Amino acid sequence: MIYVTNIQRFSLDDGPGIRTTVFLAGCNMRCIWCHNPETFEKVNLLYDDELCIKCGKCVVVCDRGVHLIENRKHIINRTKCKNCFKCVEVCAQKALKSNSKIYLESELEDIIMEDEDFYKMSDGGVTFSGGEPVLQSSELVNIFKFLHEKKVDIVIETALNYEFEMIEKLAEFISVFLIDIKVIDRKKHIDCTGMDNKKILQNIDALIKMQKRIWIRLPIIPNINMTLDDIRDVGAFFNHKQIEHIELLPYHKMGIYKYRLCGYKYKLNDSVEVPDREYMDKIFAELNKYDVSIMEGYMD
Amino acid sequence: MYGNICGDITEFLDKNRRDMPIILREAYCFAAYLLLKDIEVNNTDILAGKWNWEENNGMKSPYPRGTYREIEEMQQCEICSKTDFLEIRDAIHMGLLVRSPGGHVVPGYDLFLNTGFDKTIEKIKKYIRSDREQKEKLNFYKSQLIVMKAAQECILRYAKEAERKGNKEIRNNCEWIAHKVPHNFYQAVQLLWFMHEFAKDDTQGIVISLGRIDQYLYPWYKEDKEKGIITYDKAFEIMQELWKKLAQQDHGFQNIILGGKDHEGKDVCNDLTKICMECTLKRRTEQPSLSLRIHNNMPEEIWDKAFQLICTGIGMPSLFNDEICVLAKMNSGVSREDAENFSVVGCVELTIGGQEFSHTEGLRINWLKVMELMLNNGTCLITDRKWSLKHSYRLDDINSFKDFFDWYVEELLHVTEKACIFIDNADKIYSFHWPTPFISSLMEGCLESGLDVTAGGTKYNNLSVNNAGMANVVNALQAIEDIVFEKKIVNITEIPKILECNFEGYEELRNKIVACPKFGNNIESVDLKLENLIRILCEYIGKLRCHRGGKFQAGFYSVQVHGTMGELTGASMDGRKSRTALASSLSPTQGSDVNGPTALLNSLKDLPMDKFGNGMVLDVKFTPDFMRNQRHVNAVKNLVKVYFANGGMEIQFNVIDKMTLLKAQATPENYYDLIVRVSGYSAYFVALSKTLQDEIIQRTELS
Repeated sequence: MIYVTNIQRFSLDDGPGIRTTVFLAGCNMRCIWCHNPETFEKVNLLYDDELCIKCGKCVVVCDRGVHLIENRKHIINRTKCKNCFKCVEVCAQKALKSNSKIYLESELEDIIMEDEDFYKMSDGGVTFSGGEPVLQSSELVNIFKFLHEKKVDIVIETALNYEFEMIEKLAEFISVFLIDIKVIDRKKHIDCTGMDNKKILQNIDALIKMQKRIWIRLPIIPNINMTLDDIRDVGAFFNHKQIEHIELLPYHKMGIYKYRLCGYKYKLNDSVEVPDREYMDKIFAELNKYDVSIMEGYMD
Repeated sequence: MYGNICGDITEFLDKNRRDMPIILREAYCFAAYLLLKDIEVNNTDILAGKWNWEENNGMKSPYPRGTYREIEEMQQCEICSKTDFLEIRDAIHMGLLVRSPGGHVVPGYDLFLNTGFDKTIEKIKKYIRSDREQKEKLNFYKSQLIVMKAAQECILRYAKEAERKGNKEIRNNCEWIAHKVPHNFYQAVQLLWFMHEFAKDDTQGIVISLGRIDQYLYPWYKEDKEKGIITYDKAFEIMQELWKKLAQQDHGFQNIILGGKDHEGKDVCNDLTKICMECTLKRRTEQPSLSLRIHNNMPEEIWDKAFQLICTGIGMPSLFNDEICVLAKMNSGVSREDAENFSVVGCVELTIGGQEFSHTEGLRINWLKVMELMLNNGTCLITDRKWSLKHSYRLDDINSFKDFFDWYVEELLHVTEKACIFIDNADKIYSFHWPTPFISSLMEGCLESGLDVTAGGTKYNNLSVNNAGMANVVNALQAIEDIVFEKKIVNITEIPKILECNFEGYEELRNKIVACPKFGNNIESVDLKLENLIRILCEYIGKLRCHRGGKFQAGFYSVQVHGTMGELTGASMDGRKSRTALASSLSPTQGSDVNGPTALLNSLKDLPMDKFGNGMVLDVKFTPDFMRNQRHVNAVKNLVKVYFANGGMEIQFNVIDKMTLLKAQATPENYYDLIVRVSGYSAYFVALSKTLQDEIIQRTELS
């Protein structure tokens, strides 16, 4: 059984060609800028106040007292919620939802195989993203074996924040590793993600040693994780290393509304703005001083 | 001869028009129009000619047209009985059937450019001399002579006007082509425009398309280029002038189809293929409409040019799969050799230029109305008019989904049968009342048979049966299967009441209906229903023959009619509210395909498109910035390749404008499928917060 928040078919930005991207639920990092907060937990109740008509059906059906409607206001006490989702079933407005859906391995395989013709024509395949997909590695192994046999190209997007053995057993099936690097400075990494990055950097080196195809993805949150000093650190770390390229991902605010749905607080300051071309060009120019290949078109 | 025609016309116009044989009357009207219409040439003009529909209107036939008029005529001519007449009239009133007949032809400009006026006139005269016995044929030959002479004379009028304005080039060209075969590319384009202008005059502007112009103009271009008297750029300049002329008529459905293969299977794209696309790229006008024939060996350069055009958001060219289109025409009774020369007329109707007259817009059936009539004992929910069902079953006698499905099939075929008889009868009126002698002069076989094209004079004489509301019907059938027969949430006898209330008071049930599987998401149970229905329908109409000797051919596209039919259709079991639009063409119901384009194309994969002799439309939408990224463009190209490799017939891409996004914001329920590129990833537009939606709208405006 695999916990999945979303399956995006005709996905074009997570690896080569036409792909199906499977977003797995659950992550062991909490990047403060994350635009997919619904993938933090494996199971979580989502609530959209804009859709809710305050009909009170959820209040009636919940035996733990999670929902309360007062003065046409819907208050949710999430600490009491055990994710039974009885409320989701009765919500005709779809204001209440589960963040994830549980798939049998075979169900997931079937969905992935639907677009086989498109993968073949475009040199595409399937990408497992998240969340941190590797946290469900024992379930993934079987799917990977199946897909490998069917000659479906597999890409994984991971932050590598775990023991190397976890990715090692999947590695033989994977064609490209999309590795998210948040920041090189250790203290800053802890501040931004809640986690030390020592293991992550070691794991990258271990993957490089295995001669795997690696694409690095760098979120650029202006003056937060990627100042000019930070980008120099990145350049220095990857200088001369066997990676295919580095992709710059400018910060955007398209995920903030999902914090509201999850009932989380968005920790990043409102004053943090989307980087303009000038900022991105500066980052690009600085990184370009090192022996690394950088993907162009980062403002498209 | 000028004096002669003019004399005849004056006399004719003064006297009672109705006394004259219809074919001669139409020919004289046409001639009168060409000899009297305002013409204009300026000394800087590159091409002469102008088409003006308002001016033309009323000059022609004294018989007003229109569908109701047509059925009245049918009754007067005793072609159909009073009962049939009333029933068809009601069916049209209630939006079960829609008809807009006439025109819709690709004239044989090709053949004419290679024959010229003098030779054509000579040929007609030979027929007049040799076939004096048969009065009717003689009248037809005479009509051919009148229209040819009039056209020739009109070109000479342009020559005179050019002379007066000091435009020697146009004068010389006109004087030459008024008699002979064009001797260079420039003259060929000029003659093509004149013939097109006159063809539109002859049919009062009803859809006339131009066919494979990059093929039939190419010999002149090639020869001129070899002689060194033309360059690519000069040809581009001349073609742009043609584009300007074509753009005089908005929504003219003047389709031009480019590319394709020859009979040996070799690619035929050439400089003109590129020039035509570049003309639209430069001018950005919605006329002419461009289509492109695609096959495995089409050069990458042409793919790139086509996508360069698609990325502008102009919605062209429409892409056609050569192989499937040829098979579809063969299934409409066309020989392989002729089918390989197929063109497109109007929107997407497959036709053989200069050889086929098929009233491609002659009929459209509202599939969803059929179900409404079944559920209400033959009574229309909107107009209260009646249709006599084949079986008036009581709903409580329907015990299983299979019972219901089989009944639907019978009623759909029953409507189809009646409609086919109707259009075939209506078609008979045309040669009595609305012959088109000039179009006939451009159609292969008319002289040989001595018959006007409306009387079956040309080589292929099909009739066309178009369909609308397919996705609504299969979604409704799926909901009935799930909710009525499997989950038994509601009894079938309650359905008429629920739909009559337009789901008011049944919102929860409607939510359940909306949540049922929908066509277009790669879900087998519902996709298979459409496949079955379409196979049954195509097989049924494939066996019918029309009085002009041709076949009936199916079309699955809806132009704007899904809107007008929807306004006349009550609430339906797919969750659709009363008087709202039906699904467009073969597309899923608005906003119901939420799994993206690959799933949509998989849903269509097993449809028998090689039986769609009258074409189909599949419309896929993207936002402008999605197509700005080259990787995305390549992916879309691959999407097309897979779809065609799996037997797809047609696909077209629309790039969404700001208005659409504003509508999506206001009525999200119709736009669940709208994918927008956010930043590095794509998202469903309606799932974004208002602030983000606003940002995307603003961005769309800027691009």
